[in-house]
Amino acid sequence: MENGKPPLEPALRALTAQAEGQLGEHPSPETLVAYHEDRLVGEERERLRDHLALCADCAQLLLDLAVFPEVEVLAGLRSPTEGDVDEAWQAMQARLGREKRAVATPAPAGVVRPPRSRPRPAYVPWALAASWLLVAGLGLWVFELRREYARLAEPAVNVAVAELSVEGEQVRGGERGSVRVSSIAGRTLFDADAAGLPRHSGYEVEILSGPGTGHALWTGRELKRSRDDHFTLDLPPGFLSAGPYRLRLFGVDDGHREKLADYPFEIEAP
Amino acid sequence: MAAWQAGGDREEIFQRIFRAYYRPVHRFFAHRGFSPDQCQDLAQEAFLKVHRGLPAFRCEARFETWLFQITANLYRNTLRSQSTLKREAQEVSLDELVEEPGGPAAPAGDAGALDRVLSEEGTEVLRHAMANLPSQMRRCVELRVHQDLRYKEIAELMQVSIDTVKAHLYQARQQLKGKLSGYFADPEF
Repeated sequence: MENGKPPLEPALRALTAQAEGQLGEHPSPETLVAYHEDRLVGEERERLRDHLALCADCAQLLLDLAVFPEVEVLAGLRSPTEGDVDEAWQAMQARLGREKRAVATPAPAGVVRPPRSRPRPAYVPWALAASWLLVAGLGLWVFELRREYARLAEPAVNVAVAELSVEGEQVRGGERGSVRVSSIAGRTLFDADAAGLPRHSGYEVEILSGPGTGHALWTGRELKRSRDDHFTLDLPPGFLSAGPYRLRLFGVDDGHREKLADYPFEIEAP
Repeated sequence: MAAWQAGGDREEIFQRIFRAYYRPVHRFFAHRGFSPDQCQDLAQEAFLKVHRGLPAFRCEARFETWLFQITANLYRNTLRSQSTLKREAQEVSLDELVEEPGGPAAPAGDAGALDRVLSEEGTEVLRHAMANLPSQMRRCVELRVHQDLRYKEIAELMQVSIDTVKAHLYQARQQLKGKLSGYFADPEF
């Protein structure tokens, strides 16, 4: 200590250490390279120099860059031997192999990568709901149509009959009573007069094939006797192919059927 | 690199690069205080980045400069990760630290360190004297005193000649001596 005065250097070190503590972000290695290659100018270069003066780490990086790859071996540090480099190369190869395999291996089964979704426009939910309603409505309509078609494709008993004089109308006599057969738009209407027939709690009608003892093709179980003593049956077009048939009426009491009338008829080929 | 650009055997070229530059990269990390195992891992990481980046590398830049950038960036990122880990560890044990007698140590480079060395007046005079030095002269002093660098290294960093550095330091000594003679002994840097 000169004349009791403190040395300047420790004070300077303390002052610069204080300034170092207030340094901002370190310049990137790319900026250091740009400075080293004299590509920084003006304010940017001056700022970097100010930083280098205080930041030992950045200064050392720049000094290393100036001599790289001729980095000297510092005293006390062991430089890798040829054997070390061989070993490191083996490890490097193993790692590269692992990376290649990882790239080549597809995602395990069952792992589904989430799709890259775009933001959905606001109208999409409404459009989806409207489409769903439309499809549901159409489905219901088609279902009703098919049910109606199936209903019309089946014979119907107890149909309302207006007093019409229809061309081609025939009156056929049976064992008891008579039946009037009309053909309207391909449909065949049977209107049986049951005035002379005995009364039962229920009635059934059967269509049998052939003029003799044919087998039952269809049975109508809900047949009702109208107020004016008639039974009606409506056959859809195409229900019976051309040929001879019989219409048989039954009276039903307690599950027991009694034949009431038998009307032979024939469907002519169109 | 010419062989790489010419479409030579990529694996063989990479092996040649690895063998040629493994030691400098390893030393780069060793000089910065990393353990031998860490140096090995970091060097391998650096060469992995080289391997990935080589197909896009253009010979407009020096290969060594590109390799240095990769290495330096890896070093910076590693420091950042370590610093984050340290911070998190400190946050976890904060309560324990508070209970220790005397509390945690003050960080280096704080204002208190300067005050402990100097009187308030001396601090202010020194700060003023340094601030009044021309920028390049001040930087030379800081590099010489604070970082303890040689003239050659200061010249390299400031992109001036060694003679310029010597001249700056001489001038700085004269100016500081004149302004600080009442507070400090003559500068010896």
